[in-house]
Amino acid sequence: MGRRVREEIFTGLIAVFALGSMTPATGAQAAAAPDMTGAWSRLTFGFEQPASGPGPIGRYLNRPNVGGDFNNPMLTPGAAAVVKQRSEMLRSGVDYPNPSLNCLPMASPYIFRVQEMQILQKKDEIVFLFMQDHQVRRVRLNAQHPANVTPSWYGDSIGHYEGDTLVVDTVGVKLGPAPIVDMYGAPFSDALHVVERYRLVDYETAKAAQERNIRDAGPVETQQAAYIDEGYRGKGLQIQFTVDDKKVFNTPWSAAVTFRRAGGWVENVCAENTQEYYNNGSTKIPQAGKPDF
Amino acid sequence: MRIVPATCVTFGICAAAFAAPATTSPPPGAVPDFSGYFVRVGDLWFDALEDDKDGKPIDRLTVNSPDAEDIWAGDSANPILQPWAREIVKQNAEAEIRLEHVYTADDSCWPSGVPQAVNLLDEVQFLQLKDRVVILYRRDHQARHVWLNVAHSANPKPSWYGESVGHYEGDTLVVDTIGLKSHKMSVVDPFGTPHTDKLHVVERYRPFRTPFGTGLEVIVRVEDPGAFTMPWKGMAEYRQDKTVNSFDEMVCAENDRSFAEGSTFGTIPEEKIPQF
Repeated sequence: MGRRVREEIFTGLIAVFALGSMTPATGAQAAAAPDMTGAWSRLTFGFEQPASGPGPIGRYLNRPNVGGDFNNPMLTPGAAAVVKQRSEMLRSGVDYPNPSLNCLPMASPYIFRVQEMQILQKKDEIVFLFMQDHQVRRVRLNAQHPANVTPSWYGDSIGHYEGDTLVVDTVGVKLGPAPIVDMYGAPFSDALHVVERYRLVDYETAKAAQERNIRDAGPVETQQAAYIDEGYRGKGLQIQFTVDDKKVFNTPWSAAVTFRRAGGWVENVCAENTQEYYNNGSTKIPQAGKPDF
Repeated sequence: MRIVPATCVTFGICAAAFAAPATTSPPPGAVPDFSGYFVRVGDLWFDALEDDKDGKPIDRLTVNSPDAEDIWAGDSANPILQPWAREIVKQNAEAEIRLEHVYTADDSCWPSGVPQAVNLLDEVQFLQLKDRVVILYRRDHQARHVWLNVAHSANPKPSWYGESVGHYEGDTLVVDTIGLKSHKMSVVDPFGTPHTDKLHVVERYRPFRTPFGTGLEVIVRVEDPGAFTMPWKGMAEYRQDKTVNSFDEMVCAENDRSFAEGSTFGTIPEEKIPQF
């Protein structure tokens, strides 16, 4: 583990005083940049349906615990086969590999399944922290995608403000061993392109959207859930996003997730694996009858 | 707002209500500037402070071996160690000398904890807000939260990163951490030195400028009467790396390094006959 780095010892000590680096956009944009700083929570894994146009593929037969609807005509044949395979694994009582179970980074929009998120706004960058496995995602503000993007777990994300809305554009997401874009097991390809629009909404709108989402998608059933600050009556945060991936979907589709202020930041370490999914039969781990070494 | 361990499940039992979000930066000239990305320099363990009345950190043993570069054995003769802790450091050192690496938390993709996180080689970033400082480590995208100008809660629930509160003293960020989870693989240094749930760490981060660039001096003071006979202090340094303007991803669970060949981690045992 590690390696030793030898450096010259610095001589002379001069303290540096400067402004703190955490500010919303400055200059002409300062008044326009909405303040989304802080921690936000939601209490379900599922996405909200869009107001219009195609939404996520949905559940097979609209039943819980049976995976995604592989008959949805939005899916290309290859993608439908993947969704069907994952759906059949679920129905046999076995979880299919996915970033959440395998402690891998989650690309957008799958990462919005994480119940708690922190937004840290800087002048030229926005840093998103996610509760699940302390993930960190960065968005470069007012920048361009490189001509040749090197694929990475979170992709290359650039953003800008349009009035009261933060717009984030992501390409170049690495496939990894279990590429998944939604809660239904739909995969993604190297052509994935996601545009997210973040906007503060009033308390009533946020509360209603969350309650509707929980009714439709079911509440989170895990001991590692985050929780809402029920006493906070200020703004909520809504993210509307569009997924475009021509190798997987025949049409772009949209969805939304709505957050309210979090009641506390939850430390969640995936590798610690305190949930013991295996004991509950979620995934049956084969065991050797006798040790071989 | 307080950090809530993952076992905290019921609203109303858990930590106090979330504080209002920070909306502005600290006023000009009020706080030291930690902007940019810093990389660890020097030895990846704590150096002793000269002429300090506190105990000295565990030092690395000098081993006469062709593999010395890869042997991270701590000096168990250090008088700061309680007997049980001394035995662990000694066993760890003996294992390392046998080229049997001793696994610690970050080998298993668990958090490095405090203060061992200070010894991580890879880039670090400090995000300064009005009410907190978020310290991001490139190694497995770890994140620590330091809540500014607040007191510790009465009974923080143990967590990997503990509960950190901080304040500025002139040119220095002072971070005080308690509530650190004690686990069979949680350590305070790269030599596998253990700790108990009584661990209390105070870190002092001070940026400084030289003709070579901006450096960051970190002095840690560690108290843990369960593991140590006295408080001890150690020092570490970072250097700002202006060639870095963002973190490259480093995902521990991806495990894209091959440990099996030519490393000190030993041969990975293999089954001869599959049993299923």
